[in-house]
Amino acid sequence: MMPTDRMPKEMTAKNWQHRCCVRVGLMLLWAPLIIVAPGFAQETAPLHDWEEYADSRPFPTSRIEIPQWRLTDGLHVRSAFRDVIADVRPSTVRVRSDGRDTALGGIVGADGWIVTKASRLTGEITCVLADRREIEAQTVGVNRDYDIALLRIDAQRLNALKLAASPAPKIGAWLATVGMKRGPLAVGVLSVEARKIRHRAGVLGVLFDIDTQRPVIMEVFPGTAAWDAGLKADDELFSLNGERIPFRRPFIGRIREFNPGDQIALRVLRGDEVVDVEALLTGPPPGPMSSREDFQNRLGSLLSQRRGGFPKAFQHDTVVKPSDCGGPVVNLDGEVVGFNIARAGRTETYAIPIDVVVGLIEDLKAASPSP
Amino acid sequence: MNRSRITVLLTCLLGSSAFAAEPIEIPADVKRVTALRYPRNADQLRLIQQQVQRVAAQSMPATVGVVVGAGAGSGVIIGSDGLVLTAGHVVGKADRRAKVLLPDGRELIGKTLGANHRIDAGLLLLDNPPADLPYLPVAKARPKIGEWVITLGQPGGTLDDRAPPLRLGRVLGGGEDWVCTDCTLVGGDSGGPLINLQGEVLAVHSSIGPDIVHNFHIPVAQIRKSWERLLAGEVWGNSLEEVVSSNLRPLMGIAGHTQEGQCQITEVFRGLPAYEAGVRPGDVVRAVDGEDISTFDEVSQKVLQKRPGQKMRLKIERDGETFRVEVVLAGIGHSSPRGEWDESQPQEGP
Repeated sequence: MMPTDRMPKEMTAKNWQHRCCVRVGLMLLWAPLIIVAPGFAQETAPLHDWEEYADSRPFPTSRIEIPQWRLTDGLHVRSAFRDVIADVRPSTVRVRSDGRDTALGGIVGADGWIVTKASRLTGEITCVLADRREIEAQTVGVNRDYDIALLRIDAQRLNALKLAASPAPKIGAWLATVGMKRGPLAVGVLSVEARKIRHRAGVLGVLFDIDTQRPVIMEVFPGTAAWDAGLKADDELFSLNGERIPFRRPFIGRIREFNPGDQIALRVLRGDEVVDVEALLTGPPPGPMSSREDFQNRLGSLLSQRRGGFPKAFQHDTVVKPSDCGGPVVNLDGEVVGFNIARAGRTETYAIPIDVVVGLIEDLKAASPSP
Repeated sequence: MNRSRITVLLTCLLGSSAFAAEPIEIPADVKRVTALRYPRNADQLRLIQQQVQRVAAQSMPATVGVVVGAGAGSGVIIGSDGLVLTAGHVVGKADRRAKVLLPDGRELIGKTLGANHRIDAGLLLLDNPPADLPYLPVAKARPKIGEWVITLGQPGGTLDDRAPPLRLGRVLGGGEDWVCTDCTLVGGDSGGPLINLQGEVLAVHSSIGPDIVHNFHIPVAQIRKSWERLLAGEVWGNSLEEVVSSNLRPLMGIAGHTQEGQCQITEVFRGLPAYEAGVRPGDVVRAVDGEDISTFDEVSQKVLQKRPGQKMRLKIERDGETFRVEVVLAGIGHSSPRGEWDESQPQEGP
């Protein structure tokens, strides 16, 4: 048994039993990790049978109990990072949209400048500081490519992050995601150095009538951007963000250029009426098993709606909630090496490298109206 | 497969020359840290990091993407003779053409050898292994609980502009035929290597479960027992045909335990039937289909007696209140309980 003075504060005797063990076992769903190209599914037939196949193999059917201290991202290992993140923690803020925790952010200017993830911002934005003050925030600039927003709060003499273009972390380097507590929110290692992250097409969620070249809706799928925007069958799409697109194919192509999480303005012809709607695009349908790959990526963690199309991001294996993206990531020297931008899959979280963020801050500040 | 080639291979392997890549030494100060239950401070974390980075540098070039038929998985080169270790379900059958993609961009061609489908292990052999072929040593020891390990592979398939992503974790548990780590895995990782801090291949990736710590690998120590049969191109265990005709297993999507004579639910997996029916962690199951129950095993038994698609009535106690829910069981291999999207997914985009 470990000495109690070493025990992380969060772990009191009362909740010990609940928190110390992770259970693995009974009645789980084993998913084998092969990708089968859908076009070839016929050839190897058992696209859907791999699950049964896995199920027939000798995996644990009884429960094993794992002590919290053994977990790579458990309370104990995280506690070892306390000193590392001590200087960054006071500069980290909780970003809330209409009272809900939607992101984290970092203070990048002592007079109230804050960086966060743009697509998580909706409605009224507030920032909770390390001293627990909650202050209203204005969005002063957004870079859609990187999904980075610059916020401004009415406060002075804040603890700003010391941002420098420190050398990029190497593969295998420990990375800590800083939250509002003494220990990091989560820890992991650098998986892949910075690269361009592929674009994921935004989805409106309609089926077009293919008997006409005009963009006429045949069906609107429940729970999609189109459904929420109130689009209806027989609506004809007229323009997108003010751009007139008369044909179906180009219209579809233009929508797909947007990212999941982007808002688009549509002008629609409905009978004799002209209707203007705003639609918040999603990714491919989020049904529980919409695709095998998608299903596996969702096992064990929630994913960010906007998680692709970043011109440059590094990949790490830290398990971060979508509502905890937008804040600083530090290396073992306590240097901010990037800002988390997306939980992208079961194995991956993306962060925008610090040199890019420093450049974006300058651009966004320069473009913002002076207060 | 040419018989004389097998003999040569066997001789090489048994003569240990095929595993000639040297394990990396673990410095004494790193050993002291990894012997601890967990690292206590930044200095100790740094020692682990240094060792991980040494291992990563040696291991990444030998981690490959494997394409056999329509399936894409991963693998690891374990001999200068072009032997590639992977998962059984990546190999499938013997004597199939395999494409092996190296992280440096090279695309090599090989053939599948054997597969042990019981434990999910398989081998491939490259046709013309180049002289500078990178390869890794293979561990003799079994994975040790708590050991720090590295995962490499090609999750989501091999991408031109992405090296095999590295993930760090620890061995959480294991049995004869499997080892569980908190190195996260996903589709495409199948057959990729789990590597210890000496840079030796310890296991190959096989499958995952619903929780983030449910990552399963097959220990090499176990695969070694059937090494010669694999090299000889033998395929055994549950064949695909058996699998297709086998029955679906009913699935409720909960985990739990028995505490103080009560069946306590500890986990409810999102998107699976129990979750959809409103069962939540912390609930106590009092009765199933009108029969009182007091242990988690009883619930499991009842589920296993059912067929996917059948209903189960649960009497649940939560915060002192008792209520009933009805759960429609899913089946593994079935698509989801609510699969409307699969049928009606827009073909014409967006």
